[in-house]
Amino acid sequence: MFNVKMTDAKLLRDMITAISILIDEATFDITPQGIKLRAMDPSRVAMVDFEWPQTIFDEYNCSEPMKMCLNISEMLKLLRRVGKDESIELSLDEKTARLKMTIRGKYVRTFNMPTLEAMEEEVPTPKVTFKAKARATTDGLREAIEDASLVSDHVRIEADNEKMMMQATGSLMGATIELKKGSDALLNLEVKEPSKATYSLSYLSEIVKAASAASAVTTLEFSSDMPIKLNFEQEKEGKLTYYLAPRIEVE
Amino acid sequence: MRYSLLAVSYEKIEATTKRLEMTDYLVELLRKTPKDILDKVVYLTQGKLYPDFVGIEIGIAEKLAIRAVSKATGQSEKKIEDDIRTTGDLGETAQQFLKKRIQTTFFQQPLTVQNVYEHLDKMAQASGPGSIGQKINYLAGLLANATPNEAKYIIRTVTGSLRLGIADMTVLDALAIAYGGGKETREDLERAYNVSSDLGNVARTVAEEGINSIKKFQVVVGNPIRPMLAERLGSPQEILEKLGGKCIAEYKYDGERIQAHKRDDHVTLFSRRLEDITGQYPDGRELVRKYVNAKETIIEAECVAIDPDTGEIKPFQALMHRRRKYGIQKAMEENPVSLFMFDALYVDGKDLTQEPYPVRHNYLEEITEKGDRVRLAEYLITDDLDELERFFEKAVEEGCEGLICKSINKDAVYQAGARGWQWIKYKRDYKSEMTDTVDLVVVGAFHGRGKRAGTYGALLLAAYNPKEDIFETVTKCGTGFTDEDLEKLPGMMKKHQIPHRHPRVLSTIEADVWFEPRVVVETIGAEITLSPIHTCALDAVRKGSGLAIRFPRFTGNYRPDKAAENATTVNEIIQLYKNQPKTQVT
Repeated sequence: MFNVKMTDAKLLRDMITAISILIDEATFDITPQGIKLRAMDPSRVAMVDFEWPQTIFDEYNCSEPMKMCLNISEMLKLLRRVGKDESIELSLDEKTARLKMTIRGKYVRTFNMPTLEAMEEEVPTPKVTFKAKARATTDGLREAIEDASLVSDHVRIEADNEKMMMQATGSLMGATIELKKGSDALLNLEVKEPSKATYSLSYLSEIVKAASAASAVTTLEFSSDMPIKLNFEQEKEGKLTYYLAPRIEVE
Repeated sequence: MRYSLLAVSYEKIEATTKRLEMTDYLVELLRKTPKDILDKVVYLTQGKLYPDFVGIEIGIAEKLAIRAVSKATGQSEKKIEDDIRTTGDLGETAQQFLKKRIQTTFFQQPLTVQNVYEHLDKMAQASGPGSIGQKINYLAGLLANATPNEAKYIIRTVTGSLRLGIADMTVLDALAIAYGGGKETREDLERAYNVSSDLGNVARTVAEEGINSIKKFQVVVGNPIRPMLAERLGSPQEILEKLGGKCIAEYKYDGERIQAHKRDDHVTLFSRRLEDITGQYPDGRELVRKYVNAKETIIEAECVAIDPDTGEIKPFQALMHRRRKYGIQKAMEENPVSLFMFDALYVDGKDLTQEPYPVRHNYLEEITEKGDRVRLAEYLITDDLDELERFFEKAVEEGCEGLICKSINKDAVYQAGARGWQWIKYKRDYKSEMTDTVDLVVVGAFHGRGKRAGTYGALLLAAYNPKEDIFETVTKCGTGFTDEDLEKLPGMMKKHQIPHRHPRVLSTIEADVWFEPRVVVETIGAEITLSPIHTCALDAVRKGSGLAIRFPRFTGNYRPDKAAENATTVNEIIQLYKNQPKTQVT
């Protein structure tokens, strides 16, 4: 048995939006303790690690651990209809293998959608020793990435004890963005070793854009030529973390 | 099984120009393949996922494939496009770019054949909004795990450019050696393939169950049979000689050859290339359902577009409107089809493929209920050269391509998948073109049916022969008339109507209504051909034949300024016939 209630349906909508940018089909791990999802995008360039403990829900009933696979883009279509001050209830009908979704606001509507055959692949988290750690406002980070996206499709991120730099070089134009430690955008910076690595901007901007609805502050960790980890801090409990594999510098 | 094994085999096969070597490599590959995925490997080596008749194709546009390569390698689409200009092959480009992949990935896993097949299958079956993104993602996912060499072949497979040149016959050779027990089993394998059209199934069956199961392969309703094909000869003489002096000659209609599979009310139509084209011919399916009196049957027919107003057959081009997903309804109204049946391969539990043609033809006649739009292909059993030539002219004049002459011998079985001398095409060597209009006299008319009930379906038109002062028929024209024309015609012709053929009209055709020769109409056709029916220029070009206008159309111009005697003359028609530009027919 699985059914949950949430007073603020937008919370779920934002979370599904954040997941949808990487994957089409998501297999959720559901236990009496909460919901988890760890999945890679099909190109294996990025990974999302999501966790909601049962306390985040207003009601949470799960009798035994199970996997539930959903078509995320279809689900998002339904969730886009969620308005302000609406609540949501999800319940899985194990007999028909369909998920029922009841949204209550000015009126009540109930959608149902099929669940899919769960994918078995277990995704581990990458084991990386991060040398640089920055804490930034999600909005600030998003703006910086949007600036870089104007000139190129990839960006080099560098950090030392003073600042974090973003360098984008396109075929015509270039951009340098500096985020000083302690500025409005960069709340904190801890660097054990100056580090630099290059990442795909199309992934970065999509991730940050989608996650910004669900988070105000981002912790960003990376090392030279290693993956970057972006942890979007949640207001309540819960975890929304992305990993993005680096590009190899060719210049 | 690792996909790399397949890629290595592809590489070897691609490098050789010798068919025997190719077979050897294929044998090696088939032996290494686990039996339960042998079907998949066979499909994949041919750049497919399923036998053709299933109708699921891998195809993805190169543009989308480029996006997937870009996603998996981190290179910009522009760079990839630029590189294709030098390599000429996205597969090659993908291989190069994967070697210097800029974008790293998490947890690469070696690709297995099953895994690749599953992804390709999902790509092929993705549909609806968002499916383009999904296809790109599936492909990018494969490439992310692929070695550069594997990437080359994956790309070529999905873009339909895997040109290994492995013919069906080479696969059969290889199967005979690898699993059949030797080359001598090749014939059994080929027969199984010809009746099932499913090479993968044949491969898996022989590997898992042995050659004896292959020998038991049966014609199955729903599984298309590879069509028997015809050779070609240039004259009735050669044809009759080849066929033992006597044959059954059938009209070769200018339509689409279809194989109809009927099980109760369920009907599937397959094209000559064994694709399921039921969706293109809902009317054809209905005709089979209604007019074929057998519970379970496989028959062959020519599906021909007809003019809904006149019932006349139209050239092949009219069927082009069927080759699409949408608008079939409209195409069905504008160009409905008729079926001309010509073979029966299976009737209610009886496999007829080993029966001689006359037997099959009898079965066909028995189960076909004649209708307006369903009948047997026009045929003639003859041992006479002249008769055959006349029949040929008649076929051409009526809009057909020519004749198919079939053996009536005892050994004239259905040779599935083979081109042989049991069936011989007799087509024209060239096609000519009528470039100018002619003014013809209305001498008779035929009652219309359906939409044209109450008016005329077609007019019988004649040219003037000044020497004899008579009018000789040259065509039956039902096309080109507007609704308004049709409404006015009976009234307009009424005053010229007479109870019998006018004495100055020479005609072998019996019209429904006769007129005195007065009204002249401007007409054009596709070409002027010899005719055993029309009297225009009889014996002038060839003994026993006249001339006729093929696919005639009224231009919309009545010629009240012309008297019947001012109409185009027979001599002018002969000149037009002789001077018309000719093009070779292949």
